[in-house]
Amino acid sequence: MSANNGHPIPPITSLLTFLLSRLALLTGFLVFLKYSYFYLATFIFFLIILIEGSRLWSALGLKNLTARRLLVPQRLFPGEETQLHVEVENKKRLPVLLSWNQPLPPRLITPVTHENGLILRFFAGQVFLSSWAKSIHTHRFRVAKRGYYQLPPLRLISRDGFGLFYKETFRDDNSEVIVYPALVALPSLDLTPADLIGDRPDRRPFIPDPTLVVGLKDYTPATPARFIHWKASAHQDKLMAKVVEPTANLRLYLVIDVEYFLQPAPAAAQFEEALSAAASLVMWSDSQRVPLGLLSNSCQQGKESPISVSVSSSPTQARTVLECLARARLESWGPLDDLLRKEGARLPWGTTLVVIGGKPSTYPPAVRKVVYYPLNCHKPAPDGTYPETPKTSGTEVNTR
Amino acid sequence: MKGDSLHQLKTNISRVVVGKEEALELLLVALLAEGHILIEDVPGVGKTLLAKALASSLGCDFHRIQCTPDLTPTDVSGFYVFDRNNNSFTFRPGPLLTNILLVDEINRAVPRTQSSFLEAMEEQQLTVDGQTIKTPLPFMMVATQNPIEQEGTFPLPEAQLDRFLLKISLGYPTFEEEESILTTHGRVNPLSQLQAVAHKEEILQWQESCRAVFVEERVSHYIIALVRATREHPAVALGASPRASLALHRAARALAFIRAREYVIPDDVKHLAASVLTHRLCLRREDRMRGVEPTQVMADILAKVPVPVERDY
Repeated sequence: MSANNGHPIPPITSLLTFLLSRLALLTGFLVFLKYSYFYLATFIFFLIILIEGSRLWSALGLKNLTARRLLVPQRLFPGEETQLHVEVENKKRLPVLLSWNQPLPPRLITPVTHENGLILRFFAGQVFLSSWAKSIHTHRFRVAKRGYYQLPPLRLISRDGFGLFYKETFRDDNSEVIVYPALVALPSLDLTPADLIGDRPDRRPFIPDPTLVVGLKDYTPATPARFIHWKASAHQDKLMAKVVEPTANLRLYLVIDVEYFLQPAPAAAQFEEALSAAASLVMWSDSQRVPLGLLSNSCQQGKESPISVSVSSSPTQARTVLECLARARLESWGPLDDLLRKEGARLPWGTTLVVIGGKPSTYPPAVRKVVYYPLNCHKPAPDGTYPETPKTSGTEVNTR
Repeated sequence: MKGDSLHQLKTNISRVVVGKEEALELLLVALLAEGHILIEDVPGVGKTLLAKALASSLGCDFHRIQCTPDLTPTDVSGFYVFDRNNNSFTFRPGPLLTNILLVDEINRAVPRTQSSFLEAMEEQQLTVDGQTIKTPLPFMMVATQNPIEQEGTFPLPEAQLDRFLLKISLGYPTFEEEESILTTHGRVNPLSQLQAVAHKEEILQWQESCRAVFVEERVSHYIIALVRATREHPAVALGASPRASLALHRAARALAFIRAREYVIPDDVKHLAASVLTHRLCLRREDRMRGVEPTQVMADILAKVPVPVERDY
């Protein structure tokens, strides 16, 4: 490997040594030639050819050489295995002796200790690529912790066939690994689907949904005009009104207040637990096809914004939310109330808010139900107000 | 001749829809295989235009339904209304009773209304107030949906997706195609000038001819192998059904017919497999979260299932 431990520019000592060696060889060749030591001169000449040829070979080795990294899968849960495929292709006639070195972020991998006591921190490989040849090498590793990780650049080293010279370069294609929070079973959260949907009496009546028409009835003056079925009325020659079903579509909006986990001191373990709970709710929502959104004032790795995902039932919604949870950092972007006020205006009517950590001071008007998790237990007073300080740990469903 | 007529049909539609030769061929496959087609793509790429151009070129009845959440099943199928003059009930047919039906943004209709299309798609009939009414022949449904807007939409259930023969995407045009679109559509609407170049009877005859296209036993085995592979793939929770095998079989015959052959070759099956099978796959949730897409799974299956070659015959 390199004498300079991976630094792309050789140190001045070896550069000087190389120049002096070339000068010495050239001088020797000229001297032997002058004094008619032809065998020695020929030997020195071939030596010079060999050295210059090797140097040129190593220098040209990296030209027209493509290297690609592919991670399969790129998104996974802690403890799962992924494969890193390193594909190199020599797109020229000159063969090349190639080696590569792929460092890994230390927190990403499950530590593997080798016999010599060293912990695996990088993958390395070596291949001889003949003219126009391609080679794919696969490395497997298990991911350890939640997070967003960018793989450091791939280091490629090209050598000549005699191992005299090398040339290296770095290739970076922004390969990333996204490790979602670990999942927990929903019952272990002390939170059941009934808590989210609610079998407790609502103070507000069900909201009739004019798009869910189940029948017709005669129009009465008390019926709002928007419920008149004009086409049926024309057929029947009298005013008919729609009978509609109430909307019972559950929509979840997960809200995580990272400042709750920063006071009085950063509580990293509790924050991870909260993210796991959120991830588990995401998976449950996806299985039930419940539209879901996410809001958090936590900073994100790799992005310059807090976390805000609008409520949606798109096929990729769960993946988008899980990615945001993977990127979440124990660092506050700002007060959650400001974010909730801004994003709450776009919430669909009848949304259930699941607050993970903390207690926002206000709620958007579209919110129909609020569920707290995990550590606050707010029992509403008879007049519907909530206490300022938490009383006991656990979960509690509140209706508004 | 049959070949000339089909070529004329393609050319006629291409005068309006620029550059979508592959999508057009798949549309004709669906028509000749007596199937239905689902087009999923972003707004403004020509989904509605393609369906309208097809209907105009075929000289068939054409109806369009713009789906909204308040669309009811009777809006689609029709209803009985009491006629006071005759003292009897008269049936007022809905837009479903037509030859070419364009259902725009089908995922905006509520599930109850989406289900009202099922009987017509599968059995080419519908039941209204206990009375069975046959749809006119030929009958083809072209449904469209937008993959971008998900708020206020109702994803099609697997049972309905399974009834679409093909699911395709048109994609954005190339620079040259977009330039041609500006030229073609810039001054006058070419759709209004489109004349019919085929007729219902001709289409029914073509459909009959497609049923007679020969499928060798090993090609049939290849179809079955592909469909079975979708059920056995580790990333798939629910694979393609026997209905999918039939669909691929019919589609392959139709494609061979369009390409002026009286027999199906494995390339026909391989060409159609992705369009016929991908939308029928339900992936495991964990694999979806890992970013696995049905198209990747299908590509993997096509790469692994061996294609019958001539030396095996």
